[in-house]
Amino acid sequence: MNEHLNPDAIDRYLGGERDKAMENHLRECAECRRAVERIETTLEQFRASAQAWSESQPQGQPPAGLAARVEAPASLFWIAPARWAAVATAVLALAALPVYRNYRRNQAADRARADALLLEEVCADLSRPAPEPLEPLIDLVSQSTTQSTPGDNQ
Amino acid sequence: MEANRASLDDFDALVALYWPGVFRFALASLRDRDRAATVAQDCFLRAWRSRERFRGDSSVRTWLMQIAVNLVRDEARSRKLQFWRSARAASGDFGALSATVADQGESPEAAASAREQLRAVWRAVRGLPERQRTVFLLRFTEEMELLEIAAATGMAEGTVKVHLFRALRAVREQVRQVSP
Repeated sequence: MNEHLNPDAIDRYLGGERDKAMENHLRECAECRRAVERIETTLEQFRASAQAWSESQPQGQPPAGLAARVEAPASLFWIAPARWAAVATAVLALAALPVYRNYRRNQAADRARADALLLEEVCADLSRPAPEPLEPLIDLVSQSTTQSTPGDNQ
Repeated sequence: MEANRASLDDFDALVALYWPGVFRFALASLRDRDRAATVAQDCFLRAWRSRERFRGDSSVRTWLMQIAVNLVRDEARSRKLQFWRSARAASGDFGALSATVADQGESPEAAASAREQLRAVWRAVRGLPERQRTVFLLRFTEEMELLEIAAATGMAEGTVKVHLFRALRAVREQVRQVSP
């Protein structure tokens, strides 16, 4: 008797790649035949379980409205809800674009006005002889200067 | 082939004839009945809308399976997390099913062993890489020939064999672990 079928040969056999030598060996070797039959039985039960599982589902039968969908293939009503949501989002985004642009323009104008105001204040500060908080001191100094001048004259 | 072509002229006949196989393949692949039904519906709608392009190089069944394979792959990739979540959730279904399928008048011990082996196959299938799983399911749930699987998956026949043999090895290994 030939050597037993190795695991690779059994996989090839189960996968449908069979040759005469394999078949002859399986006829003669009870051990290999049992090994192959055992896994074949399990695979057959797997197929049966997939079929039973599928048939036990309500969706195992075609849905009633399917034919109607092919009669109106171009109908917008058959667009999936997710696609409707995507379309609605795109439309909203397009509609909002001018509003957004206007908002950005107004924002830029406000910023320009604020900048101009700030610049004016800075210029005003620069044109002062001293910073605003020191102005009372300047006043004091100028008053004392005014008062002492007559004395000097005296 | 002529009978196959004829079914392309009648949508209801096409669906009635091939829905079970397409749904079964999608269900075994995705393990989610709602998503499997969505895939099956999309499969038939796409096939119907592009039936003019069907050249008849393969059977209608293989052509439908080709569309289903692509839809299942897209669906599984787009929702990988949900895929594994539902895979775990569906494992309860197999308990009841395997009890029905494996109980064929054997002794309680033999029936229990058969159930355990069946669960091991489903576990192994769940853990297979995508292409191995697809090839395995087309071969062992849909009983497609290697050349048909090659046509449905767009792989060369040699590649199909490689994936199938690797899948079989993984499945046999799982079965061996529960029933040495």
